[in-house]
Amino acid sequence: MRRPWATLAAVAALSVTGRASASPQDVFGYGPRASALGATGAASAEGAEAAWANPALLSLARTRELTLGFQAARLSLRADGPGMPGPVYAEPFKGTLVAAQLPLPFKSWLRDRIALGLAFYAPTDVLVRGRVLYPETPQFATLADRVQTFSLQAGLGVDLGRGLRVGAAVSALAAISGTVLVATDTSGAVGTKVDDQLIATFGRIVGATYDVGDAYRIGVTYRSTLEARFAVLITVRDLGFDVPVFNIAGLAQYDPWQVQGEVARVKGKTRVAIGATFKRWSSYPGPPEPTVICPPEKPDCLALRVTPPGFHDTFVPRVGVEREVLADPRFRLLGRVGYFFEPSPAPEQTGASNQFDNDRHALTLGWAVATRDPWPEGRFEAFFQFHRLVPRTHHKDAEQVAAGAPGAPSVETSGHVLFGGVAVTARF
Amino acid sequence: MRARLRLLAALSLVALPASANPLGTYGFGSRETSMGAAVTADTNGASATFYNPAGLAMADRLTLELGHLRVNQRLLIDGRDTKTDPVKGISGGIVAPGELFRVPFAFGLGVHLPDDRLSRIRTMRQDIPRWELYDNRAQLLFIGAMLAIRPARWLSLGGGIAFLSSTRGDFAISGRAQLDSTYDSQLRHEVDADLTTVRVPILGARVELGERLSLGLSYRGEAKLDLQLDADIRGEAQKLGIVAPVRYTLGSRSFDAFQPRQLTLGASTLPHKRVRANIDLTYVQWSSYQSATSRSTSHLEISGVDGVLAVPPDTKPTVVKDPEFRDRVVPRVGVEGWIVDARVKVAARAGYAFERSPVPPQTGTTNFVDADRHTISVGAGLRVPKPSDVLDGELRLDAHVAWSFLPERRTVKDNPADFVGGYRASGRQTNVGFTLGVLF
Repeated sequence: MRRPWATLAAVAALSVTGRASASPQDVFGYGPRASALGATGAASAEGAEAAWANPALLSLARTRELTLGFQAARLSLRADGPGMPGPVYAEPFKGTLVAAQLPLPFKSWLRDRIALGLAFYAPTDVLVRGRVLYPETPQFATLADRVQTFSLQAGLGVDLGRGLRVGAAVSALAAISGTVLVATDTSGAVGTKVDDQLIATFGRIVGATYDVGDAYRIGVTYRSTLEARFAVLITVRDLGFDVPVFNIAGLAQYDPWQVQGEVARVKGKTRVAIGATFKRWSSYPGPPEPTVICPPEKPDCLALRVTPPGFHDTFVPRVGVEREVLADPRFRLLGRVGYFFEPSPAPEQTGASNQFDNDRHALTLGWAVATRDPWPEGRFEAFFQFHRLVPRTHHKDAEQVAAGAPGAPSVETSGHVLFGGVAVTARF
Repeated sequence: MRARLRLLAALSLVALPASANPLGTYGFGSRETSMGAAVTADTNGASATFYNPAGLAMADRLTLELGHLRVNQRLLIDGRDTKTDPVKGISGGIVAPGELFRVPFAFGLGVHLPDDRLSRIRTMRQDIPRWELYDNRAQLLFIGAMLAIRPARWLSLGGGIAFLSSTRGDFAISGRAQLDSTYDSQLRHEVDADLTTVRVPILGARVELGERLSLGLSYRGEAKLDLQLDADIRGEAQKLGIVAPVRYTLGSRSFDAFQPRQLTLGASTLPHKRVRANIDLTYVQWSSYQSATSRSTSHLEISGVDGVLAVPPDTKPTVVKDPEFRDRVVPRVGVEGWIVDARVKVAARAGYAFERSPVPPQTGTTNFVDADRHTISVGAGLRVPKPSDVLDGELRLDAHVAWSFLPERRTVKDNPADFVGGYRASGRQTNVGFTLGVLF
């Protein structure tokens, strides 16, 4: 997808290389409020967070807001069994949040109807971490590197009246495509000629909400598949014998298409959101691509093929509760709690492959202090998540994995994830 | 012949979102481009994210901008068109002003998105003639996020970051390579790579000296793309019944898309209430320039195949010559005149810039082709205040045309037997574009 006009709203993009990855907002949710409320938001999101949760809710914006935040996560993952490493190292991640809510101040019949939202997350050290490891290498393919990725959403929400809102947003990534030629030149010196391009890839987010009376709202959000490849062809000449062209290619980032539905109570001191997300993981093709590609004239060549990972679709139930615990003319204190259960889309690893994944229970917490006149209007928010990986046993098939081989006869995987952050929002 | 190969390759490819180059060369925003880009003391739209972020604090309305530019390049060597790619892309951004702690404040986002790609890295041998400043360096994305405040009526300060990135990591290939039937090779690979963050600072200040004069100062940091490749190939080769271990090592490192450090001082004055005149002087530190030529080494080992397999000798490592570019000062001037009607305002604009080539005479083995550059620009602007009941701000439409002339420059080699020999270089560029803006 290379449509620059369509990309303006999305602005940036970043690149790729990676294992079966997905964006951090798909793992934790986006923004201080949603992250504390079980990553809900299809009917309950507020502010620029709605660019990811449901762009229709951007139309609720009445004031300009700029949010700056910091978030970090620590992953403790284990693979125990014969030949297994025990702790599987996963690099901690940390990064900054930048989000802006910009209502468009039209007049007359368009007053308070349309707003823009921009939502960025940028890891402090890397923009994208990508790995495609050999499948027998013990790894948590769908979790460990998913969070090490830049993310960007830009959206527009429109209030159609009669309680109906619609919105759309673009989520952006980038892919690398290029060639590397290694050869000697006329002078006998070895040279490398590199032609490498960074290409934008985009995912679509569309959403709608409907207010049921004053206090309740239903919402639904569709997010298309967001994927980014890296593909570098390496040609080596002048070795004295022929070697094949190496197709160093794979799928670095992958968010399955998904539909999130939600019902929320959006009025009163206690606000509740309950919903679920369907994720189409069964379409996931797996991260690697063939290293040698069969030419059209020899389609049945003996080059290794890539086996699909056999993922299955998942449903993710979510709930979040927010309560005003203290109110003062100058400020309000809000407490937040939530939960979601993320089933693993990955099958049991019965063969030589050790691409592990576990079901996750996630408990989320947070609070916010919202200030108002005479203090500067804004919010200070904190959020925290604890993910427990449900222990899982992978029984190796004796016909595929010899006795005594790493992982045989079984591997048990487990772990937990700590995630948290703070954010400051200013109205201006 | 069969061989088992194991390739451990550490590649550092590059991806560059954001740098100053295409905008510095061709302009950002039609108003700014038509005024010769002499706007350091006179810009407050999305273009301020590039020219001077302090200007954002002068905005008084939420502004959305969208535009497009196309630059056709006819760059000649010995009279032949080098088919340098055109530069085309959309530009735009958002400026959101307001108050923070009762101080005027603004947030700005500026973007230039090339139509065909976000960025491109292309390295080649240093003896191959190429237009060094206008070929690959123009194929880049710009993303700048800026903040600005106006602590006093006469002073605005701004700054922010433009984002760059490069990828570093390891590629590994293993398996069985069928050398007499390469497509039957049973190989697989793994990748462990990071796209690392590079942040380029852009800072600015603006001082209002009365109603008719303002001064601006802006700074843009240096950036370049780092490109690395290291490979270690290990395996076995078999020919005529002889099996021999093979090892091949390769190293390559280069830089591309160098963006020089720049410091600009600008002034803007109103000699008449409907006429504005601007001047900018930009110091560009081209002397830090690093060539996009790769530095490569390689070594092949195959033992026990004497008389069976011809093993090529080690190739000579590449020695990259210092391009010895020179710093330069770029003068820019621009004028703008307004015709004001009760319902619309129309502007006419013109500008000029002269960029002396930073490339020294290419008398040796390198062939960085360049010439001085004169750019003449014209443009027009339309302002429609309160265009409808739903919009009480303003609609803006600006358009520009700019012509750049690169007068002929002759290159004579010190060595009459030089493989490339002397050549003549000249060219011209035509830059057209528009910007549509909505002020709320």
